[in-house]
Amino acid sequence: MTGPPAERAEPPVWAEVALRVLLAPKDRETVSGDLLEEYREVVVPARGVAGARFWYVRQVLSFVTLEGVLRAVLKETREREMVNNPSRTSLLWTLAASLALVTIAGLLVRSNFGPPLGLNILVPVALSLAVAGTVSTRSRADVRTLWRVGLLWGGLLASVLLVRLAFEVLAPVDPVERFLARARADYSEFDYPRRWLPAVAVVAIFIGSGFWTAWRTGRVGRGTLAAMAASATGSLTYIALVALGNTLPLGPQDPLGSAPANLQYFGNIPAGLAPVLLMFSAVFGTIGGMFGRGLGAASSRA
Amino acid sequence: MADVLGTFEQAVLLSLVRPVTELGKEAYGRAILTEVQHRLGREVAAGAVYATLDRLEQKGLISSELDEGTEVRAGRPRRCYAIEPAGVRALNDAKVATERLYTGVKWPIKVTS
Repeated sequence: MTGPPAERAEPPVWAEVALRVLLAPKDRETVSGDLLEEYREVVVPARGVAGARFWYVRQVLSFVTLEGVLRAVLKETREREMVNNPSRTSLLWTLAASLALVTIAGLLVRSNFGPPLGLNILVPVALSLAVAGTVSTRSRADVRTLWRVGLLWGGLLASVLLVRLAFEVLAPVDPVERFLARARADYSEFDYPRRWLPAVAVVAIFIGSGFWTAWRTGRVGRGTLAAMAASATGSLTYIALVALGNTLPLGPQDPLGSAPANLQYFGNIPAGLAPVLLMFSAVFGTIGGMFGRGLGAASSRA
Repeated sequence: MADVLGTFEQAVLLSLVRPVTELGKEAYGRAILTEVQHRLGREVAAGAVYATLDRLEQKGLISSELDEGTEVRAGRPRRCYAIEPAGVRALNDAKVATERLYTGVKWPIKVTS
């Protein structure tokens, strides 16, 4: 079987599409033209169609850089869309944020309000969002803004955590009663507002800080970082306060009367609270940022 | 003196100043890629050359303009590059810096134990 002559040979369509996505708009025609020319004039005659296709894919892969991918995903699309169709951009951001929230809610329901995703998924997702957010921070003024947002929303976060702790200390739940309740067929997390209300409040703080920052700056990535800053300052403040509380003779009595009150017992605070909240803040801060980016642009046009 | 150019940047700029291949004289992306490969004596990824061209243009060492496309490239335009006076100065600086680096060193360098 013989293929088309070299001067009409075409590289893989998907590879050419990938190349165009990775390139800045100003380079799309010229660079893809250069590669097509080399492909037809030199590579196909020398290596045959199969070898040439492999060569083309390798060349496309050489354009894959973190910067290129981020630009493709975040910057170029946003800037072009803003210029061409701002209403559509706002709508897309808002829809994407709504879809993300609905997906998370659906996963939570499916997992009966247990952790719907493992750390092997959450960690890379949170890390990617954090890196993307860092790219959007370019000046000291940005860092100062993030610091202010972190203090404000972080204080709110610490307050929520302290209120939850106060409930745990002043009116602790009987662990046996809770165990039996969970074993019942009609058990529902919603029967225990003290468990889900603080979680909802924390998520609202992350979404709120992301929303507020992206609304003001028009950058989703800064919303992500703002929520992460709030998470870091809030959770560290909380842990510091609890640690301080444990040094005072005010700690709650251990129900078994053996172990002294400590961080592990005092309100069931896991030692890894800060990193866990940081990961959640990256996800929910981004969702809030997407809402802020979409609705902020819409309101500024109104 | 500005930042000293890296080896790859020097190869790209030299391919614009003194092309040695016929294609290289046309000074568009693919021609520069061929020229750089010829100079370095190895295959070079296209992405590396275009990223370098982009960086050099941002530094003001080269400039570019669009040219008409041909049939073999499906009519897509070519971007032709030219070196700027700042690029020539940077090349000269790089050469001086390299020579200064090797001043007083006997060639070839031998291992002494």
